[in-house]
Amino acid sequence: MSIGRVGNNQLTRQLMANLKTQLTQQERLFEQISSNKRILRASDDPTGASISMNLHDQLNMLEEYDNVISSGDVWTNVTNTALDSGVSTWKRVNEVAISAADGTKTAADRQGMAEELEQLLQHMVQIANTTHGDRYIFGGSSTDTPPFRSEIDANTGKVTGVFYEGNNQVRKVKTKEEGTVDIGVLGSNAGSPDKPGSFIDSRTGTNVFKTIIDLRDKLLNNDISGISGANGIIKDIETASQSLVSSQVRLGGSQEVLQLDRNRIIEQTSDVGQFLSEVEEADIAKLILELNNAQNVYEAALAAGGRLLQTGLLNFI
Amino acid sequence: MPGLFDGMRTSMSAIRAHRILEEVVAQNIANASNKNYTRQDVRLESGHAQSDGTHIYGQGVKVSEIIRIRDEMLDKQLRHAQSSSESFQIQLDWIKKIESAFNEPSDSGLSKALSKYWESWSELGTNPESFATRSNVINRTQNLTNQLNLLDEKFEIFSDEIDFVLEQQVDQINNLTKEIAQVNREIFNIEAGNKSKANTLHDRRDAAMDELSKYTDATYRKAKNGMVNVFINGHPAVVEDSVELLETQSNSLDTSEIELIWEFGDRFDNSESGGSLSGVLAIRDTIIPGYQAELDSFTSTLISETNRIYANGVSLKGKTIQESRLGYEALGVSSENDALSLISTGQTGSMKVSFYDSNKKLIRTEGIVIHPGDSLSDIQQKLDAVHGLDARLLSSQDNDGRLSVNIDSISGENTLGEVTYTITDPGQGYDTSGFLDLLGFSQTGKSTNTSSTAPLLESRDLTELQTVLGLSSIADVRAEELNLAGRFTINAFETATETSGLTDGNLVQQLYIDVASSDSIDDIIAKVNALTSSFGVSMSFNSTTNKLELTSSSQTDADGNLSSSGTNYLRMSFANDYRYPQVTTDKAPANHNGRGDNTNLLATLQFNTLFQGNDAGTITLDSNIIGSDDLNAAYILSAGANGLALDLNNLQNARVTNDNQFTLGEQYENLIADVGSDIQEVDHLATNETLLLESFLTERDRISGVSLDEELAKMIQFQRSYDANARMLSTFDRMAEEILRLI
Repeated sequence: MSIGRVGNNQLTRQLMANLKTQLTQQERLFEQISSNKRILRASDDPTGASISMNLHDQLNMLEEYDNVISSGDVWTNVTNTALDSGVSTWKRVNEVAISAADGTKTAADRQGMAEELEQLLQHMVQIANTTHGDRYIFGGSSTDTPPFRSEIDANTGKVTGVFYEGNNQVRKVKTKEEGTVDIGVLGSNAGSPDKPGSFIDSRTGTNVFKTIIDLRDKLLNNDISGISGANGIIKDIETASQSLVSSQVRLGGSQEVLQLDRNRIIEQTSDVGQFLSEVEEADIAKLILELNNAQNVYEAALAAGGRLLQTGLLNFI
Repeated sequence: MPGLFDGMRTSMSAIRAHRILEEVVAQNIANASNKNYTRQDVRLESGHAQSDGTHIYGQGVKVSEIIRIRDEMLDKQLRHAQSSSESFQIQLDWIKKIESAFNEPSDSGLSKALSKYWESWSELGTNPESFATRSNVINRTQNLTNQLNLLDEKFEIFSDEIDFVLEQQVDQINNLTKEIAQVNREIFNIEAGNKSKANTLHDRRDAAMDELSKYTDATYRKAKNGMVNVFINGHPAVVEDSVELLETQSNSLDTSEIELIWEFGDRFDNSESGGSLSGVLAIRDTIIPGYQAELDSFTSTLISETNRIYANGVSLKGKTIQESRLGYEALGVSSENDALSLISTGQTGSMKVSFYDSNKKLIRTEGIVIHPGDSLSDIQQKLDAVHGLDARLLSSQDNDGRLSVNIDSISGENTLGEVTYTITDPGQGYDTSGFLDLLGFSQTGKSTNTSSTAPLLESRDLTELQTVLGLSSIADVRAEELNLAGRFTINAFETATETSGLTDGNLVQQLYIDVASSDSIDDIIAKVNALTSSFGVSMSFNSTTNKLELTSSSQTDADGNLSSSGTNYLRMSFANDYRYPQVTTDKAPANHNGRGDNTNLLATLQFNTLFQGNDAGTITLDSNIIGSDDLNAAYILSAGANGLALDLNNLQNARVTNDNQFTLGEQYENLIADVGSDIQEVDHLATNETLLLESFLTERDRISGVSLDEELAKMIQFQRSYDANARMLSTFDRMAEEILRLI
């Protein structure tokens, strides 16, 4: 056996193979540095790549939840504003009722008040039929038709009844993986005794429209005891006021949940973003050091190869 | 004593030998750069010894043989390493191509398309009234299906390209085996009866064998006559100087693919690994199908899980005619009359059909009861028996038993103004009119008796109302304008004697009674009877008890359809949804999940579904949805309802794949991670094998390669020896001259 023999091709081939390895390594480092990414394809780090995809997906989801919260915020705000007007209209109704109960008022005064109440009633119906961009907000999921229908007496032109035509599907949005948030309130709980209603609530016997109509009719009939008596209208007005306010409280609760969700999303986005940059981004300082090193090795290999291949016995005979 | 010219002869032999030695050095130097060349050496032996009777002395030198310096064991190891290295290398190349086809992680891959798809459902959930968000969902869905189709197509293209590569490789292999056989013959002819080896031909044959090892892990057996037999994956490809060629033909199972076969008909055994041929075959037959299967599993889960939810939904309008995309084969049976296993024994399923008028107002709902053992044809007949519905099974070339359900516009059954229908759970509330409360009808319970004549449900005594309303007679009470508006519901449930074993509580009829503000009790009784005369329910005033009574003479047959001669009586209730069992033997409807179809029949048949197709290659958005923006977002026909959209968005987080371990997104991420780790693994193996191959090549170079320094040194050495022998000759010459001069 000829141990220690070195063939000529052997040197060249080894040199070429080593140069190729060096170049591949430099190419990879250059790719990472120039893109500022550690993972450019799945095989760079299979687990990292799948984590990175998952985190991107999460970021996307969080961003979408944030959009949902924004539009949910708008919906609750519009609803809240409508309820605000409802409450202030209701205050006026209360004032009218109290002043009507005043014994110094004449029947003619009460006629005038009844006319004001007719106006307030129509205003209240308008409030209950508030829309947000063509969508009725108090009709449950029946957002395309007015939730409250007024019936008008053909002879007197007066409203004789207001009826709920919406349903009991409270508007919900999804702002987290598990569960939803109610962003609306129902105008009425007709047909769903287990849910609260804002203008009509069968659980407390509230019906703001019926109360105004009754008050109006009592004023027209100059019936003072029916207003301020033991079971008079003023009591109903108070109950109805509570119903409107409790809707606002529920909305406030929803707004708070939305805000909490938003805070959580902000925190999560920052956490996920940080994790993502750890998984995905290249450590440039480290890579440049590695690149320098790789370049040095490459140059040394080139220099050594160049010199080794030039020498041989031939130079000396 | 040696003869006068013996010494000269000795020197002459040495001069002759050294000429040959220098020739061989020249040959070695000339082939220094020839990869396939084997360094040659000359074996010398001393000349035949002679004896002069006293002494034995040598008679010069002679060339016994010119040999190739080669280690055949090393050749064997090297070729094996070469096979493995080539196999892994080519696999690596192809998986990298597959990896770039997936294009992950990136902003344009399937993963992003999937994220955007989920997102679009959330947007629709936020704006269920909007057409713009609907077309957005449609675009995102199409983008997703296109990406899946494209990936599948790329896999097909890769397989085609590999077939092309296979053809080329087979050509190469055949050329090499032919070459080996031919060289076998030449070596035999030259070496027969000749002591010397045909070194150049041996080099040629070794080169061919090295080359063949790149394509396949062939084994070589040397025969005594100098020929080499070649076995490829155990099959003799070269026997002495005859060859059996490898051929390609289209695969008998899948004509789009080619398969390999031996010239004389033997099957090509592909179980051996090694060589680029088995490398590409592994890619085509194992790796690509593996990824495809994962992608298909992802896709079919996406399709089935989405459709399962979507099929129970409704868009902004009801349906008038719908056809399923698939027939009974999708249900795993071979005929429409075969029993389906939709529901487990002892349970019942249900479907609810709701009818709407032109103002999208719900008129009535009819349920059908589905029993284990029902066939598709049975269910179709039940649907057809639904008042106002026309259901039939269609036949087509590839899909027999497709279900078609239309609003029945011919028979005149839609007398209540039914214009559209949905197969959804109506999910409406209770009495919105207050009529039931006023009359003291229970809203929360079902009737406890099942008589066809006795009242099932009773109101309060109307004399109580008479007092409350301050009226003078019962007749006045019945005629009094109630100023109530809204609607209440009368439900009929299929029931049975408590011992018969049939599950109670399947809704078969739901009627909606609209109360106007000007209606009196008598008006409402008339409305109920007008509406229900065709549905076997009647309301009447009993003058003895002064109560309103609800009775039903209808029965249901074994299939749950209303019938005049059925076996099971109805129970009635006013509650819209069955939530308050009144007797302990009442059971909630089986599989009650708030869906219109709780058996998944419609989703499986792809009736009212989002996706068509069943794998990555075939998945598309249902063609009815494309262009119509008629996309389901809710479980009830109501503009602002968004339950379905939220549920589909929620599917994003549902663990529905791999035995409920992973979400769809995670399953796809796992596939990408699989591709990545396959590359890492194959890269690792390829690097190892290549390093091994390198070391064998170095070893071969060390043994068989030409070293110029060595040859030059030898050249000088042989030149010197030549000089010395020439001088020796001239010494003998002078010696002879001395002798001759004496004569």
